[in-house]
Amino acid sequence: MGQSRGLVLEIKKRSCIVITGDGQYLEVSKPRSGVEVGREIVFNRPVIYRFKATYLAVASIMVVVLAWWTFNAMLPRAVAYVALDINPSLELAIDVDNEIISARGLNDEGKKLIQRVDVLHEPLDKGVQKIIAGCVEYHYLNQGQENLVLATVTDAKRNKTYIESKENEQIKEVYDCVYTSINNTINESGVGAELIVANANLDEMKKARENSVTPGRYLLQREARKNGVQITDQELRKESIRKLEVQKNFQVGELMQTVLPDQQDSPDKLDITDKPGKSPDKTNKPDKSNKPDKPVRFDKNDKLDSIDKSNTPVSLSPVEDRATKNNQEKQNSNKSSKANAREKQSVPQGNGHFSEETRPGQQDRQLQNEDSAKKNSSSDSQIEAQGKQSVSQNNAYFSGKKGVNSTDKYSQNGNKAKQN
Amino acid sequence: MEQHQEECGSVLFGDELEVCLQNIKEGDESSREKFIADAKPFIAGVVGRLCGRSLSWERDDELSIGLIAFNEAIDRFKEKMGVPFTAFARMVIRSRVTDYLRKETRWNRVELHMSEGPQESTISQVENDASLERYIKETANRERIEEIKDYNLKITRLGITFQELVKSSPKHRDTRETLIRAACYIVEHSSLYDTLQVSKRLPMREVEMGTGISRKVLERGRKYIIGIAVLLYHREEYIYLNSYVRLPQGGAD
Repeated sequence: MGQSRGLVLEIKKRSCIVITGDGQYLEVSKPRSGVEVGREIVFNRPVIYRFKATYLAVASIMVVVLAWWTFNAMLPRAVAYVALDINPSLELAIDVDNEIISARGLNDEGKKLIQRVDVLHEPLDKGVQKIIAGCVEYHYLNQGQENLVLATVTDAKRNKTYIESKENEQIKEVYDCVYTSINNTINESGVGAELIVANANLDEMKKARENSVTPGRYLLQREARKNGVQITDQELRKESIRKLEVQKNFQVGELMQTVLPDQQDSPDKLDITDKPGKSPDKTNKPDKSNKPDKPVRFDKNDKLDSIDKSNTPVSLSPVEDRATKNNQEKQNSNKSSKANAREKQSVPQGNGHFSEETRPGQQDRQLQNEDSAKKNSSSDSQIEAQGKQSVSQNNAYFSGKKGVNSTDKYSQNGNKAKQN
Repeated sequence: MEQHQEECGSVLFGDELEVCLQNIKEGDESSREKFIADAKPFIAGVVGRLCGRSLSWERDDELSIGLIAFNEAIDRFKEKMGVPFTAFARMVIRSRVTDYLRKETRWNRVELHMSEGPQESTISQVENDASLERYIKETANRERIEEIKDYNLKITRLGITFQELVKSSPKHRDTRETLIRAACYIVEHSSLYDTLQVSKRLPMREVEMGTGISRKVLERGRKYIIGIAVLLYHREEYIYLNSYVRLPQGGAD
């Protein structure tokens, strides 16, 4: 302890080597006043046998990085987020295997619902089904009420419009999964609800999180503003979407729909809407100049088709093709069950075109046509394929706005049925 | 005589030096005589190195000059100079002999122009206390640095660095003293030191036999022993280092 003296023998970068009077060679830290070889210096006795500080720093940084890395690797990575606005607002994070790895409520009701319904580590479709069932059970979705389910899918990996790749497939899968499972559950429960599946990119989701709303609501607010309807942040957070609809006098489906025409080349804005309980005059008219008085109606298959197209503008890979086919088949079966559901509901059926004559056979035929059309991936061939059976407006619409999907397949079906 | 010379080392570099000088200062002429006689090999070494040839007391004036200079150094040495006496003596010897050699060459070249003038002036200059002190300090610093550099060179030649010496330097005083004893043993038996220089390895067996220090300890402190041995062996050269590091002299015996 205490101070001792030494003769400097060698000077290093941060230290110097001294020899002490009693014959010890020591490495001591450099005195601040500077030092020369041959000078006697006074140093503190407990000599710091310094490790190379840089090595130590590098090593510790590496340890931290490694720890962080392994930690990250251990944690499942979310590949997509699905935000649900029923009125309980929820956000589900989905991993590569379509499993729900985290679920959180974005508002109070959402939090309550998450506590009651355990969806963690469930497959996405089951989880969504559970949630919808939970909503029905706890009377967030009530029969006879104008229910709205707004689902927003966000690709967690890429911010930009997705290119054709695996992730794309994945997101589409999530998309379809959300769509079908919600649809199924709604129909099974017999509670009528309007389903809108929107797509938000990562930026939008972040912004939405900053405003502590769901991406769906955020998109809604933005689109509403575009159409001249102002929704304040406050209202966006507090009010249910349906209430807002009434208050501000707009249609969600319409708003989310109108995103499409001017964002043709950014397919992640694509929306699917399904409005079983809507009268046709409520559906949007994407191309009013072309058809000022007639509402555009599409079959659900048309819709899916157009989604596919806009998602994959050039050509469809065989895998995708298969996938969509499967989807369509699934949806076909959905449809029949939905039709049953509708019977009970007795919703106002628009222009009265809707009828129960939507026969499976007919749908199949249509499906085939759609498929072939898809393979050609041109609207013209599609027109040809559909020419005889589909509505003339379709053609006009497609040539005008390719890939734009519209709503109300039921009335569409009805149309077709009538024509047939 | 040989025995005497052996002793000189201890007088000139040992702990008794200060006592001895003190005695001389107080007017003990006999001890002055003895001290100078003891220092003869040292003087011969310094002058010989300066002239670059071996000298004999009978033939060469340089040695006499050195002897006179050494005597002068005893008188002029003061503790507060901050320089070990040996170093100071060396300085004085060197400067005097250099002066002599310069005069010699002048004598040889232009004998007619020999004059006492310049020498007088140099003396008066040296005599000037302030400048003398500064001169001594500067010389001491320079010499010390040179010494350390030379020491570094010598141990590097034996494959040792200061860094390694730091690592092998024992923390406990007992161990240190044991190792220093081993180093002294090597220095005292110059044949062992020569083996060390040639083989760059510690003559383990001999040291073990001679000192009775266990092989394990020797092995562990190998580098430290070599470092200290080099330092001790060049006692006359590494004046500053040796005067700074007060090692137990001749501890082995």
